[in-house]
Amino acid sequence: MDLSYIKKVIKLVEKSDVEEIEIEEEGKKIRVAKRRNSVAPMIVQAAYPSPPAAMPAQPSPVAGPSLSVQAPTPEVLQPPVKPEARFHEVRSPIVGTFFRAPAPDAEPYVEVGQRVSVGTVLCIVEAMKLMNEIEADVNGRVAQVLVENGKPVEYNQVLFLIERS
Amino acid sequence: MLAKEEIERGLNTRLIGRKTFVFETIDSTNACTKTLGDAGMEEGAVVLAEFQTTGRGRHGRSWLAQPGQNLLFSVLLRPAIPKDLSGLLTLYASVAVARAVESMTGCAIECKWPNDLLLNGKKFCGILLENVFQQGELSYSVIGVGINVNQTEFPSELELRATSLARECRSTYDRAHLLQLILHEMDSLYDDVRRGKLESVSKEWSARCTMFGQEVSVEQHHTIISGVAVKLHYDGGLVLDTPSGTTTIYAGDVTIVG
Repeated sequence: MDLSYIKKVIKLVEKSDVEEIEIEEEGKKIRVAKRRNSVAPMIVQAAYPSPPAAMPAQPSPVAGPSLSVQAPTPEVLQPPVKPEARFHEVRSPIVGTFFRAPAPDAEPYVEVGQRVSVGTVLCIVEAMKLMNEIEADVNGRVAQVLVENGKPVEYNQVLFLIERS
Repeated sequence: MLAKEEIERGLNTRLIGRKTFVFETIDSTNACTKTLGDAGMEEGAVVLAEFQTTGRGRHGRSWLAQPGQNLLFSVLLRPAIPKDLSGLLTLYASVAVARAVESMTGCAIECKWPNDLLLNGKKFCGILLENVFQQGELSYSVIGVGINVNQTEFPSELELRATSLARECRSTYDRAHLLQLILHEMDSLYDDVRRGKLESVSKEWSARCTMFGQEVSVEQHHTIISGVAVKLHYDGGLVLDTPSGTTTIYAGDVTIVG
């Protein structure tokens, strides 16, 4: 999924009656939607944090101008700062049960607002009585805990948002 | 007390147990092994202790053991396996222990999903795996093994459920020798396991599991699910045939009904 491919998708949406299209390919996802009252399509979401180079998850000097070639109204293609750029998603590598603490009576590994660095343990996902420790893979601050303690989680479900520092 | 030399003497493994750390008392062999894992220790390292002050069972449950009679150890591994297969490492350890105990005692071992080994229907061994994920991938795995070897006294509340090799097989056993046998079995199985080839482990574990075909009930996320245990899912989950269809379970304590 490279830039020229994304451009083609934008063009396709622009010329068609389709309001919105979402494409997922090899773990990368783009959603192109037409803004209401505007003919120009806008990339409203470029999810999946990896690999960073492949996706214009945030406006960059490279992505900006080349995208604007396709656009009749350049300001549409300068979307606000994407949440994905500021926030890093920590996902569950397996199916299991989400635990915020090592034991029922123990303190949670992390709290919202807490600073974490690469390697800080964030939680346990238990499956088949196997404790899977999930570690932070970026430096930052815990912005949100998205799953309640003791609840089931699915493969690849987002567990935490970490605000990058 | 088990001596390091006693364990290493005659241990002819390629990888597992090439480095051993023996403690008289430690907080938990799993915790110590994780420290080694974080510090970049090579795989195959074994940490053994006579007594654990905070030995961990599932989700913080403590494991009570009389010092000098049992076998408590952890193994550090760094297998390159897909993350969805990481749960099968519990079965790998179970099969290695079952093989070793059977060859030493001649008693048949049963596997209970997901992480217990039984003798005559009572638990004598528990396996507690801790996987550490970094960047969404398995960074390392700690396999904690607790085996009741020569302990004969158990608290009354455990009498019906817990046992030891000595109690069931009516003999006492050389713990260093048993450990060596287990490490040998782990070592020989690991060639396939490290490359993600876990089908034969899964098959061997299933052959020792007495649950299949039986009605079981399991509490998962505050809901009781009942059904007939059919087989293992490819990732180690337990497949149940329930009145509302087939389902695979990953969490909870399973009880055989009736």
